[in-house]
Amino acid sequence: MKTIEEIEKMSLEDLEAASSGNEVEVPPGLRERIEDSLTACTISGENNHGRGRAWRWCLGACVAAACTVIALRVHDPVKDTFSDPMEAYAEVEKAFAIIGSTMAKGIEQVSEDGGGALRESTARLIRNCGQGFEQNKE
Amino acid sequence: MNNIIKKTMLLAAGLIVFCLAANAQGGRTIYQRYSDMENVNAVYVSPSMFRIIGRIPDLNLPTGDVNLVPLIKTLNGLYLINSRDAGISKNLMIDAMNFVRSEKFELMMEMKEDGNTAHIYTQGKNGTVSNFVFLSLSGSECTFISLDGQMPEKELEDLLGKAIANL
Repeated sequence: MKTIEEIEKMSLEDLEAASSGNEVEVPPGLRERIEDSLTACTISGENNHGRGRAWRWCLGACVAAACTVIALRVHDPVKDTFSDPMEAYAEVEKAFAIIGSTMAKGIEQVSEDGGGALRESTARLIRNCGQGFEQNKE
Repeated sequence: MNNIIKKTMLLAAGLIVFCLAANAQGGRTIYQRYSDMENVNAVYVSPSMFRIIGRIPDLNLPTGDVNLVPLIKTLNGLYLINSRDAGISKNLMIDAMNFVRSEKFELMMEMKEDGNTAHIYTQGKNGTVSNFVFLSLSGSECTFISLDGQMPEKELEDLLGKAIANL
């Protein structure tokens, strides 16, 4: 094998002859090694492309899901039952009357049973509502 | 491998939608499900209607009635569903109980008498009630009332006390 210094000393004609005339000895197994390298590059290239596609697909799916949920939340097709605010107010009063009558039965039950074991939240509710109850009675 | 990744991503997206949709279930969802059914009485008062009610000057109230106007200004919505149909009542109870359990409401009151039950649930913090749910089952009649808003706890309890006293 020629050294770089020898190559630099060669004339153009000699270089031409060297490139066209001589056959370079191919190391054994070089073709297989090149094929293996190319195959490996191809495979790694496909994986990278696959990963990129999967992430883009995931992002698109999440965006679509988020848009669906936002659309469901924003869109409110429910219409008021009453167009007259006085009628609507009357229904709100009725709702509170229903709740109040049930609570009154509950308080009555508690009074009859002497209290017993009450949830802390129930005792607090009865106590706080009871303040309003007693004040109104006065 | 790509198919497995795609299926996993699809499942994850579906779970996200399901969780968010489940979170979106509330009084509105229950109202929409039952309001158009036969043998169902349904009432919905929207935030807009509450704003209009709140602006009515000198609301003419019959003597002895509870003045709800101060609380109405804090309400965003009222959903009321009532049915005497046994099948509908049963499903309504199940849906309502699932709703309060999934949203982690606090049980304020539970009453049981002669087979009739009533529950009051609230949700909120720092002295403000953001959701109030009343659920009762009496025989085959079921009533579901849901109030959304930013109700001061003290004010709500005072009004309930006055509503009881006015009975």
